[in-house]
Amino acid sequence: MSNNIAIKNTTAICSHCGDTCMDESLISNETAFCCHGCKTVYHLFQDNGLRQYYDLEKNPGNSLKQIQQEKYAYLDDPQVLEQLLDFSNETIARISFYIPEIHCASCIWLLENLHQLESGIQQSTVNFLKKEVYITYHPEVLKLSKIASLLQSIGYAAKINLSDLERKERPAASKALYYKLGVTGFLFGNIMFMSFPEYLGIDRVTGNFYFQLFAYFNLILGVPLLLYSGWGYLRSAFIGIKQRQLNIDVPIAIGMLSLFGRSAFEVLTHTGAGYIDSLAGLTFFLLLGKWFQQKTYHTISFERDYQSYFPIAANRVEQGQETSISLKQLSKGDELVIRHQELIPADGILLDGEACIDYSFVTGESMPQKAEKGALIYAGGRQTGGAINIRLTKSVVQSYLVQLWDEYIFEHKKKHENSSQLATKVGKYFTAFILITAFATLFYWLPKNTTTAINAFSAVLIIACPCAVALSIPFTFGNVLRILGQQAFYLKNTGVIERIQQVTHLVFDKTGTLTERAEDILFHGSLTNHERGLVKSLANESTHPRSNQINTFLAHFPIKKVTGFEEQKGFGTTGRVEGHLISIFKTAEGTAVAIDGVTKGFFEHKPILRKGLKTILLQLKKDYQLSLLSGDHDRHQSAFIDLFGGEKQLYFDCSPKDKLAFIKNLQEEENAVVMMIGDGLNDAGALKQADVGLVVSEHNNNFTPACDGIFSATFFDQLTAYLSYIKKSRWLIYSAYVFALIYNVVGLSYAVQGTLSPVIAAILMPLSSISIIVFGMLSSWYLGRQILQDPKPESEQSVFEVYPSQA
Amino acid sequence: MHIQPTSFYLSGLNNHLMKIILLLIAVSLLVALGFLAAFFWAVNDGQYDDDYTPSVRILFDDIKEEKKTN
Repeated sequence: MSNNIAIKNTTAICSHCGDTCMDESLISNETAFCCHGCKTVYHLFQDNGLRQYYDLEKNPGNSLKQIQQEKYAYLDDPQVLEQLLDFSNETIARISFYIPEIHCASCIWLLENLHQLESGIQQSTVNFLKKEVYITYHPEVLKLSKIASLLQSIGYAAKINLSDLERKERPAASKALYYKLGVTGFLFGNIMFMSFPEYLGIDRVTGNFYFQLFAYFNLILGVPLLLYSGWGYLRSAFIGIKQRQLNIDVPIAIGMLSLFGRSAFEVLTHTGAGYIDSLAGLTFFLLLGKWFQQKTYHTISFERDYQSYFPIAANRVEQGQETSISLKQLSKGDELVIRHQELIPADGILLDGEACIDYSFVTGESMPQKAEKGALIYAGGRQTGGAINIRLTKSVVQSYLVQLWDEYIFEHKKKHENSSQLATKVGKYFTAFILITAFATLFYWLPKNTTTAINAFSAVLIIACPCAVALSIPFTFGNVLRILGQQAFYLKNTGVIERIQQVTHLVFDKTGTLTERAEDILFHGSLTNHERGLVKSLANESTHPRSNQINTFLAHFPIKKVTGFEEQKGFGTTGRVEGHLISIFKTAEGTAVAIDGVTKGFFEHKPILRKGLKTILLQLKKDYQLSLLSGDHDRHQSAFIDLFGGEKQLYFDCSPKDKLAFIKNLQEEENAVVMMIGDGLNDAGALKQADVGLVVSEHNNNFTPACDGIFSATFFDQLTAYLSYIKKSRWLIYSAYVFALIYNVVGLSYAVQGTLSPVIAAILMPLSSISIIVFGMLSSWYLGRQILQDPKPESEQSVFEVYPSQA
Repeated sequence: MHIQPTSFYLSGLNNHLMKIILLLIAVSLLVALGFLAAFFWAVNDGQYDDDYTPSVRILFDDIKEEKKTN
């Protein structure tokens, strides 16, 4: 057990979660705990044979200090159950829970051994990448609410949002690609196998029977190759032609059909072996590129709407009784009680309690707002402080925020498909080029020799392969996506990369994007540890935003009893702790602290700018126009004027609609290509309207509105590097196109003469494909090394981790 | 004129015993199809849904000690 305690200097750390322990009563010779919650869980595990939890990782527990006692009664409602459960009958039920606290091997081990803690649980499996646990249990013996409570009590609370009620079917689309790849690989392998005799010299003279056999075999295998594996390309080309939009799939389809057509002709008329091997290679590499291009990040979604932000239930009060009710059943006139850190689900009027609402996510206002009895409170805000009662004036879907959101979705439908603009442009020129060359060759040879004419014509169509063009973007940009992903910069698809390369104007949100979400607090003066404990105890009683900040700042200190608590509006709070008179009060400089009448110092509140912000903005100013849009008041405006280089670019007090209008204006009036960088629901419309929407996220668990890319706040200072890497990677594609040109010229020199044989085609086409792939991957990797910092040693899953215990 | 095959490797092709290659090709095709079917089954069964957790799970020990009965 000795590795569970490391005495760092003279501080003990919690045997369960690794937090610093300040409370001496919980420290002994063998174990130390930061709070009673951790101690309880530790002993629970010891008593139930779960000791191994502590052997797999050091201090793997999740701190139980800030646990909200959630009520899970709504989970037993049959309607809710029907929508949440994956499966149920009389003896078995299965539920999937998203547990954001899963972060290590110990977590997996523990959650897969839940049956040790609760006998009604039959089996549980964890999917680490998705941070989900799938629990199979006996519904008649065990209630779902009990499972949820159990998970919460051991520090693995399940996060259940409104969107979970709309059970979306697991996408079977990704499986379809696997099937296609499997079949194509099978066909590719067998066709190559059957083509080898021909490479090695067999012909109709030496072994006619076998030659024919292998040729027919290949042709037969070529049918599913064209019609199943190649179907996507044929269909896309057909649609493109019908809509008169030549895309990159048109030359690909021409190539495929020519390959098959010419092969069928040769085999059936006994004049040759056909080119099915080249067709197989081409199709296989194309599908491989498609697979490589898509990369899903399981814990991240680029499509979130308000439903992922809202919880599933709220606490309704009826005749003094509190019941938890699913949000869908709330209606106008209901009375709700909302506690500390809980979300307000619908617009309502404050009936009772000290309301201190944090609207930063919804409007961008960083200071929580107090509300008087009878004032309107809006959905999406978060209550900080004690419990409040509100009476709803609207249902959840009619609330202002939700209406706004629906408006965005309705007005700004997905206008950017993941089609590469570059590839489409090249596709047009390429198609023209092939057709011109092919017909020119045909008309050249026709008067001389009809056979050679047709030979050469089809050869041109075959060899003028856009495969280099079609492969370079999926593999190069696909690799760029992956490399950026290792740096916790996640983009939705390769289409976003191209749009970023066109951006001219950057628009920034302020709260949560350029500054950290909470305001910073600095203490000037001197207080002993004991005195800090006293101040914290007093601050804990108050609901004033400043007291809350002080309370959070002094998180590690134990709370002692306060007597004679008094709060004077506009002045401060006083109270007695352990006999001392403590006072916290507002001054011009900040919030001062006095003990027994002696002022000991003061707390200063200021916004915490993101690390490296100044350098980033200076660098970005060189290549882009910059603007700041904030929903906040212009309290700290001076700090930003310098950073942005002038007052003109700063706009405060912006509503979500204002932000959207600003971006629209830029796009229409100045023809700018706009990238919006924001983080909250108040940015949702702007993010959708912009050509590229990026969200800054402090913690993987946090909600991120629908966007094109998400990146970690800890790497904010890398922003210029990311953008520069993306822009420069465009040159890699251009280089690959030069390669493609060389191959095509070489191949065409054979084709126009009518001397293209299957062997030459079989060499040239895979060679060009593979070299383009290798070049794309290597060059993008090398460019990444030049421009980007080394990725952190942790795996991609944990890069976003900010362990709750590290203040 | 009877044309003799010139390649050393292909000289046996006109031998009637070579017909065995037909059987070999047929069997190899069947085996390959079997693998394809197995692949389909694996994808369908969800093998590729989670390719990370099994690598961690494999290193766990079973719980040997008894629960303390309260």
